[in-house]
Amino acid sequence: MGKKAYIFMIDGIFALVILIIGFMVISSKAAPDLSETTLLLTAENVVDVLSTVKVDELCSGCSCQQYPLLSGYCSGGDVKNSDQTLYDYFGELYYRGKITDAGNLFSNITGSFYRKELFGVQLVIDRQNIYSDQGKAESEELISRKKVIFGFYEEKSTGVVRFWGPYVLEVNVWSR
Amino acid sequence: MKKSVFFSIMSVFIVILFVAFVELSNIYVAQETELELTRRRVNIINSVISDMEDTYFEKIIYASAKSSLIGLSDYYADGGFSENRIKKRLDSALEDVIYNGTLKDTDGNTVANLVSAGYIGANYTLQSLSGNVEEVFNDLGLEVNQFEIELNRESLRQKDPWTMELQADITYDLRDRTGLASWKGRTTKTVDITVYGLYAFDYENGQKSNTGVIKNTWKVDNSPYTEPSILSKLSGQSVPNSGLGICSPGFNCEQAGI
Repeated sequence: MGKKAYIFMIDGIFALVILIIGFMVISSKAAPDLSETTLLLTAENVVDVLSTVKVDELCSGCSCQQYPLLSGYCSGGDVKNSDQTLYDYFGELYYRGKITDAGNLFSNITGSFYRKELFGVQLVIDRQNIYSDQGKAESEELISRKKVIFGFYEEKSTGVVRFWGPYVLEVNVWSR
Repeated sequence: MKKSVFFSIMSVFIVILFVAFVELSNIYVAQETELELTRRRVNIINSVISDMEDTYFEKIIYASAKSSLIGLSDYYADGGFSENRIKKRLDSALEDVIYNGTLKDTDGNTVANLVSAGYIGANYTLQSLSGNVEEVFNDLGLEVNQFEIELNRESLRQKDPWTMELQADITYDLRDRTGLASWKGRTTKTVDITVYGLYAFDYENGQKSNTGVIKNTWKVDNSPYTEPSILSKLSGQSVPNSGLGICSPGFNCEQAGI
């Protein structure tokens, strides 16, 4: 009887060790938190589109069907260089002092990339807040992306050439 | 008695096992977190450098070259495009000026500082733009061991009447301050620089006239050709380049043969 107790005790300890090792192996392969994954995907969507899509890809001439605000800016002569990315266009607006326009356009374009009740976004250029949703300070998860932007525009009719920047552009995305 | 000792030892062993497990878990989580942070940091910097290579370096070359060409042509125009002003080929003059705005003669003596004279914006020389890039790298926690932009002077050519082409080599060697990673690279960028905004003139009856800023109202030279290319004009050359010259509306070389 006594010998059986010893054997069962040792057997139990071996079982415990195997369970602990198994638990450690399984926990190391655990999938990342789902909310963190969706936040990362949302942030990458926002950044990828703004840094790669050019203004003339959204508009045919000054007709930007899905973005009437951009159509208005173009018709009003506020798009000096349509062969630049949206990021660069925000920089150009910032250079020309049209900060409210830059913020409104940022909100208008990114509004279709994420659900406002789940995420918030912010655009900062040259350390100046251009646009920000509510709730950044209260959020526990935030992803930030930075990029250096600078550019130029040429007015062929007058021969005027303007360079602007470089600025550091920052996009922050957080979960609510 | 022996049994009680044995079971006591087993109990202590089990407790030690649990404590060891908890400690290992904590160490594991801490290392995973640090690894994830490092991974994200490296990804962010990879993204920044990739973006620099894809677009930003080209913009640096374009901005400094265009700014220098406008400044040089403006400086030449103020001197009537005379031989006193245009002492070198454009590619040599550009090589002098693009770095910090200093124009030199063929003996290497400084002739003019186009930045302090107001012909070139101080923020758009190669020296200034490279400095800005280095500041960005420093802000990201990178040590800049090397960051050089070298103009390929012989590459400057008139591609078409409205565009010049230029090449430059960029070499960088960056190291993360924590010593985790380094980035080295060398890339060659070719940029097309439009002539809009540069100052030029017409060769009307063999004389320089109608000095002004190039706009989209200028016309391409037709046969019989009278106009050298803009590159040639700014190099002090007077031989027409077939099909590469342009003239102002004041001369209308497009209709010259009619």
